[in-house]
Amino acid sequence: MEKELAEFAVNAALELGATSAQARLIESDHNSFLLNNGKLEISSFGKVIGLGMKIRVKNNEGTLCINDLDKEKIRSEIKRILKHISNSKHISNEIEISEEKTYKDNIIVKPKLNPKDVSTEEKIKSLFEIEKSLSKEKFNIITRYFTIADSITKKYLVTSEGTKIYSEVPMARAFWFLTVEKNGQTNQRNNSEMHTTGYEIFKKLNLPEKIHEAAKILHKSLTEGIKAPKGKTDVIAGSEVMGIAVHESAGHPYEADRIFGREAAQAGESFITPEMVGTRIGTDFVTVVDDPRLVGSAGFYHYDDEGVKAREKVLIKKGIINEFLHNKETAKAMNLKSNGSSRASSYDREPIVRMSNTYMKPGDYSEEELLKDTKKGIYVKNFMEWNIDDKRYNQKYTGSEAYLIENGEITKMIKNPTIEITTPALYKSIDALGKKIELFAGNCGKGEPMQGIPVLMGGPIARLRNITIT
Amino acid sequence: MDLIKYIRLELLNKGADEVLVSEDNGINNQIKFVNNRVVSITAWNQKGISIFVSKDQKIVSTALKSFNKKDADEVIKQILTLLKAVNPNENYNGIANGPFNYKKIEDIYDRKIETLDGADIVEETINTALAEGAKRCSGVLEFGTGSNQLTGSNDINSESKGSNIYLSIRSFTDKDASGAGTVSSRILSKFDTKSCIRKTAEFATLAKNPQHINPGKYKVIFDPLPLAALFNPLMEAASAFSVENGMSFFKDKLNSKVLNQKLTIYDDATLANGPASRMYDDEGMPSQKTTIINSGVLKNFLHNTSTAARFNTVSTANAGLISPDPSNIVIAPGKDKDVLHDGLYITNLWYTRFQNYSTGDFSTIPRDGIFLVKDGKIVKSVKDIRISDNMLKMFSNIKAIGASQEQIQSWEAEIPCLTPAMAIEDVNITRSKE
Repeated sequence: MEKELAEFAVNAALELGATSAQARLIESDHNSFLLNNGKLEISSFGKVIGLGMKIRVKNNEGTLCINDLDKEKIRSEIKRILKHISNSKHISNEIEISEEKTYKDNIIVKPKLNPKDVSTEEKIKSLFEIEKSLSKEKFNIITRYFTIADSITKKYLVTSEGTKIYSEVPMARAFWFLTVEKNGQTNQRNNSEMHTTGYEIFKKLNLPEKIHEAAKILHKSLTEGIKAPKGKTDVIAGSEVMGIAVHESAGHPYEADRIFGREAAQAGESFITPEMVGTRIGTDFVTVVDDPRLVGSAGFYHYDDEGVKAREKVLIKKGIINEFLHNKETAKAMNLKSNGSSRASSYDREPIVRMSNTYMKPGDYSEEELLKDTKKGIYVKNFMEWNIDDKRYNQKYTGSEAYLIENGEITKMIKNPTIEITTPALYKSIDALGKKIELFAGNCGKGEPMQGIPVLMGGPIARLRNITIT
Repeated sequence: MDLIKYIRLELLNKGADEVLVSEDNGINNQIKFVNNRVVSITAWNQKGISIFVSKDQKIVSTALKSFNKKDADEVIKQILTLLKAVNPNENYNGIANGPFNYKKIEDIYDRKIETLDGADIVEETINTALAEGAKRCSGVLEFGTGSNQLTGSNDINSESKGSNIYLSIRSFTDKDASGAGTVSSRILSKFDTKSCIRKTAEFATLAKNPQHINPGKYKVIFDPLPLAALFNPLMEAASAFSVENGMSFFKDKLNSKVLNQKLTIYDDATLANGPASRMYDDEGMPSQKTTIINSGVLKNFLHNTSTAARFNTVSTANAGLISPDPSNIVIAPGKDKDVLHDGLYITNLWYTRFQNYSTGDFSTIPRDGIFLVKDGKIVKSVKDIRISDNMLKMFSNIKAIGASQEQIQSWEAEIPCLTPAMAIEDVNITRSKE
């Protein structure tokens, strides 16, 4: 990586009239393979190199994204963005940002097994092993869509205030989509894996067994599942369901840029307001955090894309709204310091407020104890369809793997139980939590142009009292 | 010699069966405004070369981000090494055979956009929204120009250039009272934003004090903006790739009546001023207009050369080298004049998700103005509802299709859609429990 280019860009911006500037030089090597119903559809590799700059002239801001890294071209494009900033000055907001500590650091995540040291044949073989595991079954699996991918991303962040942070982070990904069919009826499910590790993670994941198990459950639900009982009942929500719930209704609404309306025309605003800090949103059992520092996690980073050091953010503390996710701009608006939540998906996107690894803290029940303590209800282990409104208030989760609980025991499988609930009703219904946490990967979408960014979401299993099932 | 032609020749000389090399250059801009003020200006200057190679039915693709012969030689070496290691895809049936003659498409490039600044358009947008009653508005103005050069092994040599300009705006009169709209064009002279901005402010004004309604079956009037968000997944289901993979509710239904007979849908990459109009697809095949649904009957899937061979038909020029993709979705106008007469009027949608892509079971959430309309008049502003239904069932229950189309492209509808408004009966409306 030609680090000097990032430093050149910051200096050029200052010379040309910027009052402050930051540059992110990104170089990412990636490989991916797609096995589609038993055929290796395509094998891809590539390199992304580009420079993303945030340039400020007093309190007006611009972003420059360029992948032709010729120095003269960089200079001429800086002139172009400065001209745009100047021409819009009379209708622009004065954007003040918080003053933050600067850092010089190197963050290198060394993969135990570098993807470069794994042969192409080996990578493809791992996909065919998934296919082989499914071929043992006699039922029809009409969609068998599997991808694996690896990348190593080098990033050098330089700011005119003195920050110089170099990072090198690997990522191993997989995605699968299954459709099981019987007599014209189908059942579907998909899932992702994202880990900031090397190739060693695939051995640990044992995808052939995991996906085979998912196919068997889909088939069982399709052939044996009964209609979900309608009406009010207790629900035990699996970690995957709690994961999507905390991501959608405890993560997104606490993004301070939404709260201030910056994403209004796209990803929406939030039902949460700054005045709600300190008010109750859930029971005492509910503590939700966002923590980028988890080693090997999808949302891993030590410094955000403004150079602010990452820390755990406690969004909800024992049921009370505690803090929001901030970048320098939103922190200043609330007279706070940034808590390091600014991320961009690549060099060609502006850093905005994002989640990292968002999860609910555990309780003290084992799964067995929680089931035994629930006389009648349903256990929704995971989901397929979900959505939430753009204020993050009305949400829906439709179960995929779900069971009836009778007299404290799992009895029959049930098909597609649906929970449609408001955010306060959801968090105020929780009266017990499991003691084990599981985290699941997702690609979170926000921004215009869209930025898909890797995150984790999860928590313990949770009991929700008196929930309406439709 | 151009670098892309050099790459094509080198790969063919070294044993590749088929090669496509495509170079894209783009200069784009975005002005983002929030609460009546500009908060960010973004400028992009990007170029890239993408390479697709097949040999003995083995397929490799890559993207080149540096643009000199030395780096190209290294990438060619990597492609040849990878081709030796990968397995063949016996389902692969090749790419299009040229040479082709390309027809000019009207109104897809405007030189004036190259030198546009955009600040005055944003200023006028904000002022118009406020003058029409909005208390605040947010959105983006995007504009840019780009060019493409494509060269391929099968006598494919084509080049094109285009421009685009896009406005997205959401006006508010209160935290829970908003209206949204978008305008997209390829040329400045047809970028008419006034009526859209006015409509967002009008919806925001009418949406004040929204009330709950009971869940149940409603006759729903869909504006073009929410319809575009629904026709996006519907047309993705018409891709042969989705059909083959069990991810389409159109599977095994070719030449069957699948939707209401009032509905005719085209894919048209030749549409004048169409946001996704292009002279050729990713294989270099000349663009065309294809009937997908004719009076409710499924007539064609979207194909590239390889999927077409598997379906024993011809390509519809919708490559996507792996998966055929829609271009511009065009919904034929109807003759109904009273679409907005009675029903639940939905002006925007978001977060459409499927429980099952092969059955079409889905739900989606209305946002911005939602209104109960009686005798052509808005009688109530509504909030907090969800549509939980089935694509085939819902679009079989069309009651009326309007006569005038609107061009929509939005955050929720990345595939552009030219559509009139529609009224649909028995739409299942659900609501969250408090």
